[in-house]
Amino acid sequence: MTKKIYPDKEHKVLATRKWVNRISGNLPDLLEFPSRRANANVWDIDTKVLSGLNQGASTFFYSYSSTPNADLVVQDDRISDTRIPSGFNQVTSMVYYPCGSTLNAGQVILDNPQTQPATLDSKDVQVQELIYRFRKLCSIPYCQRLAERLLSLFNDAKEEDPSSLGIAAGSLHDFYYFLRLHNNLKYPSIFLTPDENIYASWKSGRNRVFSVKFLSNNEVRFVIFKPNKNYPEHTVRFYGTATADTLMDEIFTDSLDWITE
Amino acid sequence: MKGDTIPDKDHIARYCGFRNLDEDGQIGASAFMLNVKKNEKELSVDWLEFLNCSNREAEITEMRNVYANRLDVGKKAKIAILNVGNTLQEVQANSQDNRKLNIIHDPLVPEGAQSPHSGIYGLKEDDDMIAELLAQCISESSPARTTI
Repeated sequence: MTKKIYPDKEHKVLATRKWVNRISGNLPDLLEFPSRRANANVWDIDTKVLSGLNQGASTFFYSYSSTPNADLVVQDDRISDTRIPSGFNQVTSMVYYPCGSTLNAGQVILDNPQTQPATLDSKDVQVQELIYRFRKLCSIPYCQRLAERLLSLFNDAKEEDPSSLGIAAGSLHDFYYFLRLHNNLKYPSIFLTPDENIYASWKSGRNRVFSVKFLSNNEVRFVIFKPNKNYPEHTVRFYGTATADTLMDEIFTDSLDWITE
Repeated sequence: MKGDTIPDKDHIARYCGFRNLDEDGQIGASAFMLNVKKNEKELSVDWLEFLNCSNREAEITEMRNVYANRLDVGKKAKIAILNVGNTLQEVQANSQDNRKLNIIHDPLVPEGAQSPHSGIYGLKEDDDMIAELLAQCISESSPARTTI
């Protein structure tokens, strides 16, 4: 069955099978195309190659050799964060269309992704996509272990309550970009808050604590315990809020020697 | 009795699920954060000495029974044990606003008067630093269900 979709200029498209196939290694990675395909504003989902049209210097195409059984994920790409290197975009949301969905010809898929009928399944896919990105985060040496840990938390959360989000996608997303920006950090202890946000903690004893709660929308709360510079037997304790992308600029990381490699 | 302040020398137990444990089973500060979605105003704990057991091991065994009746105990879940006086003192001495918490007996209705359920009162939604301090007050921990 051919399904034609007509996304506007501000969206890119990627097709994916169920995550379970992907993590088992049956499917190739998403390919990145640094060039723009002229007039590529219509895609036939059952063609062999699915390419996305994007705007902006730091953006790129996702392309994937699709199969007739592929599900479709439409990813909102309107917000591009040029501070993030290597051409990666700030992903704001994705909407998931299971295989077999009917998309009407001429339909603009997303006017506002937030108002789309996002199913729980779509949120699961979104989280799993993000975990997959952790696995591929080659700039940090523990990317595999990190992905396994996140997947374990996600699976445990779903086992406990299948209707829960498992992990808040916005929080996971911010954590991902935080680690991309600071790839010299040691492997953190990772917990989930009652709100299903990521809580990452770097500790070395009672008086060396750096913990960050990723609240989504780039917002973080942090706690620091560290020895007093002049009186090491005393502990300095403070906390605050910041944005995930500037947190490390706001605090004096020189004195947090236990968090970096 | 409901509303009783738990004596400083006594101990409380906090149930910690998988989301509060790291890969080595260490309990993190997330175990001491309020669930805003559930509009929590206090942290649920249980008063160990109220169980009238002869020793700590018996108290833990009894707490496992309490949890088994009260909730679906996770495979990895743990019981964190804190001394009341140390906990209150640590938070008051080291929190930015010298927070004075209260730990009060608050029996659950379905469990009746013998319920050890209690609450840590005086916490706020964004008290991550106090959560870290509380995590540092854990004196011991045990699995929350009996391993076979």
